[in-house]
Parts: sequence; structure tokens; C-alpha cells
Amino acid sequence: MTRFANIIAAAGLVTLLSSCSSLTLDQVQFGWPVESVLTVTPANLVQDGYHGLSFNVARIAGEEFQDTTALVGKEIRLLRSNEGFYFLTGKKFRNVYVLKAGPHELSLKSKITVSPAGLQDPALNQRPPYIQLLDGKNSQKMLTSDDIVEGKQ
Amino acid sequence: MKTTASGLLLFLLCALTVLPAFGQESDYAVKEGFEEAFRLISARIETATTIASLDSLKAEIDALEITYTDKSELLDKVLYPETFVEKIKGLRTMQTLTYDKVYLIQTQGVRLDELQMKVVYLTNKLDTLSAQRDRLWADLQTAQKSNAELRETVKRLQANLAAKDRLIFALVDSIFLPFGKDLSQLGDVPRESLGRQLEKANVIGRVEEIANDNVKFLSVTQLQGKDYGNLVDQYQQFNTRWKGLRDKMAAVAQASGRGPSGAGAGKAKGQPALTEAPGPDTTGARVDSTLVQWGNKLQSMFWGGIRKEFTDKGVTIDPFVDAPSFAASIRTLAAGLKASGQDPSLFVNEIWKARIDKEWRDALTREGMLGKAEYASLDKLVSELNPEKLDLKFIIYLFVVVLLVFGGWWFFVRKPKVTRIEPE
Repeated sequence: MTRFANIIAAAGLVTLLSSCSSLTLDQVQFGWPVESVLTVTPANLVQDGYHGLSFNVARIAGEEFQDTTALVGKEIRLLRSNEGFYFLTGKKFRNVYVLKAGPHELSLKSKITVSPAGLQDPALNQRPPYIQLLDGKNSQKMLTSDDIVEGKQ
Repeated sequence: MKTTASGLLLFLLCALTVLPAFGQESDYAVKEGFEEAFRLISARIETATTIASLDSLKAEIDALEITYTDKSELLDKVLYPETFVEKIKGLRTMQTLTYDKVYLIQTQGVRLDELQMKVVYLTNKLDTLSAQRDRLWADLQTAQKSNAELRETVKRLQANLAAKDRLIFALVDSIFLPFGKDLSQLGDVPRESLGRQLEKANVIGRVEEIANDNVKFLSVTQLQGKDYGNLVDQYQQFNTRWKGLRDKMAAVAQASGRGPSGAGAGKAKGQPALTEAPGPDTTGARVDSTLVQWGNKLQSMFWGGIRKEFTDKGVTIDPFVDAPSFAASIRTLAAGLKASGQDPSLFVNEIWKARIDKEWRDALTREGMLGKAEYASLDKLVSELNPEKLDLKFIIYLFVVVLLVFGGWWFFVRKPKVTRIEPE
């Protein structure tokens, strides 16, 4: 009897704890209809007034160009996918950076190499379930948050 | 039509430049291209000043809509909370409103041009009449002419002055007409434009000149009783129209916040206050003064002329200077004649009937003078002084008629019968 009571109590505790630990909403679409083209300030910041987003790109510049100030005055292109990942790239970038949001930070989810020679005229389009990367008139790739699924050379 | 086609072509070229390859283009470039084209067309609509350019812009809106219809789904998201359709509709509304505005301005501009031409024509006409008037003055003062010739000159001069009266107010109407009726609501720009036009046409100066001419005319001419009817009308019309003009100018001055004391020609900001100017009469005060002079001169000449009719016949009457005192004098004279039993025939027949009623009645019955009712009352009073006697002519006519009737009766009815003698 005592054993049975212990089992009941343990089950109740598990149910209570599981209900308190997480409340998850589903069918969320984070995607932006169109990319944001943002100019990097001398302080290495980009600010997207429309979406209320700002962050420092010094570490991206260091990672891509080995120079933390390489992006100052340049434009970067940012698009959020429906999953909620931020796709970031720009002219002369060899990679597309996929970032995920955390408390006061964007952390790297993946780095997708798209052009060993560097992109000439990049643009990001929302093409659910993918993100389309264009480079000028003739190059297009479909990206997931991890890899190139179409147009891989 | 050519402008419309070229505008459309230009727009399509721009659109093609912005959208180099539909099918594989950046959504961002589509958004930027649409927004840039929208901004460009909006700006051009705002600054459009001709119907032709607005026609061309309408075609550009059509082209914009056609170009981006395929992208309307994307644009609906990008333009949120507006939609692509709403943006195009807004552009069309803006184009239509501007079209109406420009159309109105252009048509009003044509009307304004017509009125400006009329003002110039009337101004020239007034100048011509002034030159003609100067010649007539000279004729009147220097030439040795017969009475008939002088009379003719006076008539022409009077007609000249009347024409100038009419012209100056036609000129004023032409100037004020484009500015509508509610002058107190005039904005700074139209008010200053109106002020400039009044100043350019020298309206107040001309009104004053015409009033002075009329005073001078009364001073130098010998007028007859029948002349005064028109002169009284002319004075009253001029006076009424001048008051109207002065009120309009006061309304314009009030619109500028200067109040009625500065009611002049609506001068531009920064210019001296109108009442301060010692030179030209910008307030109309001198015109008012000249009009008072004109009215007084007309009244004194008119009543003096009637008084002379009495003195010339040796009839003593109480002095009179205006309509009430004239009526009172006539009533006093009539009462005196009635009470004393004197023969009123000199007054009734030779002055009232032969002179006042024939020569002066026209002017006396004017509302500004005695008026019709008062004249009829005096006429009845005077007529009662001299009861109608049996007219000799009437008796003779009656006698002749009776004689004819009797003769006819005698001839046809009582004619002696011819006695027929029967042969035995």
C-alpha cells in the first residue's frame, strides 16, 4: 500500500513538473517578406528600424575578412526564415551565415559556403521552405538553415 | 497624346532598368523599384502644372500597375498595412485631384487673361475720353459760339462725363470679378495682386478725377431745368457705386488685418500705411470730399434754378435750399394766396404749370429730390388754387357741334317737302 502510494505521488509530481517547465506555441512563421539591406556604422553596428533589430557585426567581419572593421560603411543583407533563423551575407562574402536568436545575442547555427570567389551581387529571397540566394542574374541557390539544397556547384 | 506616349515609354524604360530580369530578381529590388517609381510619380504629380503632363502621368500609373501586378502578393506584404491596390488607387486619386486643380487654374487663367485685356481696354478708353473731355472744355471756354453750338458742346461734354462714370466702374468690376464676392476671406497673394491691379489702373485717382470733372462741369455750364434729371441720376449712381467700391476696398484691407481705416488699394506688406500717404488719395477720403462738393453744387444749382423761376416772374416765395424747404415754401405760398384771395394765376399758370411742371418736374420727381408722391401732392395743392373756369374754346366747340347736329337734323328730317302739282 505504501509502495502504491509512493508511485502515485511520484507520477503526480512528474505531471506537475512537466506542466510547469514549458509552454510551447506551434505553427509560428518568423519569416520576413523581404530582406533588409543594412549599412554598417563606424561602430560596427547595423540597425533595422523596421524590425526593431540591431547588432554588432565585428565578429562576422573578422570571421569573413579577418578584419573586424572590414564591413564599416558596407551593406549587409539580412533575411529571417520562417523557422526563425537569420541568414546574413553581403558583397564579397564567400559564406552565408545562419544565426539563431538567443537572449541578447545571435549565435552561429551554420556557415554555408556559397562562393569561393566571393559573391558579386548577392540578394536573399524568401522562398518557403527555403531561402533563395541570388548572385547577379545567373546564379541562384536554395538554402536551408544547414546547407545548399539546390544550385550547389 | 505625344507627351503621353513618350512618358509611357520613358517609364517602361526605367522599369526595365530597375527590373533587369523578371523571374530571377531580388524581392528587395522589386520593392525598391516599386517604391522609387511610386515616389517619382507622386513627386511629378505634385509639381505638375499642365494638363498634358498629368495625362502623361496617368499613363505612367497605368504602366506601373501593369508592371507590378505580378508582384502584388509580395508588395502587399512589403507595403503592409497598405496594399499594392491601395497604393495605386491613392496615386490615381492624387492624379485626378491635381488634374482638376490644374484644369481649374488653367481655365481661370484664361478668364483672368480676358479680364486683364478688358481692364487694359477700359483704361485706354478712359484715357481717350479724358482727351476728348479736355478738347470740349477748351471749346466751351474759348470759342465764340452761338447758343445752339454751346448747347451742343455741353451735351457732348455731359455724355462724355456719363461715359467715363460708366467706364470707371466697369473697370473696377473687371478688376474685382476674379477675386469672388467674399473679399474678407482673401489670402495674402490674391489680396496683394488685387491691390497691385487697383494701383496700376489708378482706380481711386480716376474716380476722383471724374468726380472733379463733374463739379467743374456744374460750375462752368448754364443748365436748363430738363438737364437736371440726368445729372441727379448720374450723381446718385456714381455715389452708390463709389460707396460699393469703398466697401470692397475696406474688405480687402480688413483681410490683411489692417482694419477699415487702411482701406486702400491693398498694398503689399512693408509699404507705408495707406492713411499716411500725403500724395495720391489711397484711402478714398478725397473722393468722399469731392462727392460731397459735387452733391452740394448740384443741389444749390438745382434749387437756385427753381428759385430763379419765381424771382424772374416777380413772385415772392420763402427761400428754399432743398426738397423739404421747397415743399414748405410752396405750401406757405399757396396758403397765403388762398387766405388773401389774391389772383393766383401768375403763380399757378405761368410759374407752376408753364415752368415747374414742364421744365423741372422730371428732376423734381427723382427720389433723391422731392419724389413722385410729394410732387403729386404739391401739384394737387397748386391746382386747387385756380379752379377750372369754363373754357371759351370748349364752349365754341360745343356750339359748333350742336349747330352741326341741328343742321343735319334740319336737312334730313325737316327738309320742306316738294309739293307735286298734279296736272289737271
